[in-house]
Amino acid sequence: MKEKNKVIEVKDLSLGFVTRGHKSHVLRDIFLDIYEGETLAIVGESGSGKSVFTKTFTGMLDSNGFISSGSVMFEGKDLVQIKNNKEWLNIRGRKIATIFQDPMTSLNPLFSIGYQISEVLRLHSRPSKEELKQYKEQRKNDKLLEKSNLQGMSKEERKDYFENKKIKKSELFAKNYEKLLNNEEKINIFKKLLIKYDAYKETNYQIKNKPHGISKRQAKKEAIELLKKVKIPNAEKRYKDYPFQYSGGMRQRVVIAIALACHPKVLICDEPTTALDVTVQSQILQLIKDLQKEFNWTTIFITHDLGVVANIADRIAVMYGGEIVEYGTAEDIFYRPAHPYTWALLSSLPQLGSKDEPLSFIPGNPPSFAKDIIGDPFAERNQYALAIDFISNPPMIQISDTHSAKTWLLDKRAPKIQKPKVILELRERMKRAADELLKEQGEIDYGK
Amino acid sequence: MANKKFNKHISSLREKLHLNKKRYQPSVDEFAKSQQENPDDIIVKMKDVKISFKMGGVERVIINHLNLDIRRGEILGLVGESGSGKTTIGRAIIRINPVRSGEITYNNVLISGKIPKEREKLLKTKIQMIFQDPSASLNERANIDYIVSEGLKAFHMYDNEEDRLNKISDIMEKVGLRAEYLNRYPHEFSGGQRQRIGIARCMVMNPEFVIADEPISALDMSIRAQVLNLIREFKERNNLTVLFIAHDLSIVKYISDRIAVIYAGKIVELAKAERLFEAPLHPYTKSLLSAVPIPDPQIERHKKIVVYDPLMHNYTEDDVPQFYEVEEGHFVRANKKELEQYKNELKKIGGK
Repeated sequence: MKEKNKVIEVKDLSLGFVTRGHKSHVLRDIFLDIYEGETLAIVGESGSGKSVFTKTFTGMLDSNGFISSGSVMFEGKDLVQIKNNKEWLNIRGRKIATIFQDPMTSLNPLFSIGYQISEVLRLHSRPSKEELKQYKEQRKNDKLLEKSNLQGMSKEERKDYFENKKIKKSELFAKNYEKLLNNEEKINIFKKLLIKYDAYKETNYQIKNKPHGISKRQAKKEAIELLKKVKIPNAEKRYKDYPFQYSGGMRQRVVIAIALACHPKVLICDEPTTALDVTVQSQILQLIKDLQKEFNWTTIFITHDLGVVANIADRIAVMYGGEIVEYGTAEDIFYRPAHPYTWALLSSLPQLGSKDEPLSFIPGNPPSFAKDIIGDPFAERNQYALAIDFISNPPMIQISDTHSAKTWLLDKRAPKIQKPKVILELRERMKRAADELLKEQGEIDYGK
Repeated sequence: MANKKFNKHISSLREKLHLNKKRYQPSVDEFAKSQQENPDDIIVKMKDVKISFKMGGVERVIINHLNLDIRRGEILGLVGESGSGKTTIGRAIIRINPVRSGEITYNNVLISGKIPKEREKLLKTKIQMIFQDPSASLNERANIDYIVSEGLKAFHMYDNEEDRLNKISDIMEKVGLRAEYLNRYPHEFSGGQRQRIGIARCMVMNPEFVIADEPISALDMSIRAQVLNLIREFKERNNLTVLFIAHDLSIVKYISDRIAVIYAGKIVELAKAERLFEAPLHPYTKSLLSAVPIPDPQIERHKKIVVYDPLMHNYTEDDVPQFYEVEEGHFVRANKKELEQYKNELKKIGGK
């Protein structure tokens, strides 16, 4: 396997919540490396801790949550150690962005779509306080220097100096004005005046070397560009619309555009398609894939649907009861699943079911975190559970370079068991499903 | 003090009234009678139905010229994207949404528009509904006992208190919940269990016809299978007829006998479940099929998504598409030119 750069390195992460004075442990001993440019999917039921896990990357843990041990390394910095919200603002949104499940709740219904995108652009282009402080000192020094220079000059030299300065400024202004004019398509008098004002401001900034954010009009232009990028038709017209005027799929596209605005290194998609139709879902997935190719970010994709994951993921981590129970490449998980929980998830997919037999499902409920879990958290619902599963938690056992699973069944001393019927017939059933659904597309490449 | 006494008196009176109340029995069961008179295969018939809403004074037609028959004892899957009007159809049958024109009949008895109060009451004991979001459709303030028996109480469909409790605990057992849960509240249950309560509330009325409005869309993958199995189990046990509304074809295929695909308020294709997957004709059906995720990375990465564009048909005003039967039991919405094309396609695919 090629050596890849790690973007995020999670080591021995444990996390819990305090509720009514009672500590509950939600995540336990998670090790995970996330590589640059890949798509990692985290799969699990609701209540398995998958959302909580990714919230530690952006510091959005609820106030009663605490990280008891471990580290999350990102760009040489331990994210666990950050306590300050100002420091988080440099990472959250700017370097690690998140798309949430319900686009209606992540957009503000009171502001127009355009405003919400350009707001992000303007906020993140704004100079920080330190930059401004630095600028102030620089400016002070420059003025002192100019003063001392002027004192040494004769009267005529001084006149020349100011003349020069004026000419330089007007040249720069002309340049800026022309540049801005060229960018605009339709120009009327009012707009020309506005552009003049912008050019004047820009020139002033450039002469004074002042750090500055982008103007409102510039932000609008970039926002429209972003809307086009996420394939919203009539982007110029829809800029002024409000979230309620958009359909569910379009809203999710807008949320993606907002996440795109800062060119993040890592994009966390927290069940982005659960609230959407299948047709819209496939379009959104395609969009995320295309944009990832263009901007080359790393995607962390959270979902409970294994079908969705097959499309998008390079690697998959299966979570259960606050632990990663199996991880590997997409091929590992789909063609050679090793953990009983992955078996159960795969066999409950209705796409693979046939009419003459009832669909298999996982009995019982996910474990409650209120009590400490002894042994394997999946043992109670696992029909393949061994006696040892109830006593001790299995270690992560490596199967191949890329594939590991956390189950005692892989231990040398474990008895051989018959895998469930669906898993044995998995490839055939997948092919059958594909034949039925994609007959129109002619030959299907089944791979090896 | 006096007030307290008065309240006590009133409640005791109410109790007496309640206990003496007779079990609900319709004077004439029109529906059963009509069925006996002319035994028919069709349970719900929608004829030229138009449903519209007024929004800000402007009438918006959601569904127009809808013809749909639902056969006795089948599960009919109704598939379409959000906003296509599939829920509206379901709600029109159970009289939540009014029908502007056309008629809906149940066992050949009219149930749309103005009907006698008694018939409406009787109808609501025969048709029940399962809702999408189990957390939004259950009353947070009521315990499970009340939620499940609300329908029974409304129609007084039990002899006495003991009978009611028996009925409820019986149904709880059937949906796989313990009878001791009856005193709990909805927030104490997980999503799958809540949907089971929703099913129990529906099935305790012993309905003939059930409208399941996306019952599994809001559920986790592993729980979906449980709920699907449960609905199928009830259907086989009670000989139910089910209108199963969903947006995912893969789920509908597993559960239903016939599938109707709906787009923008119009049914574009209707066929037996297997046949629809064997020989999809309408381009929208094809695009729906291509959107179903297949749990296989190799296949999934190479597949193309078919996007449906409604403008592709080029329908003109004199060339209005109609609902044709291309083969036995297989209907498709097309104009004459397209009909020929679809028939040729069917020949290529071969017979059943």
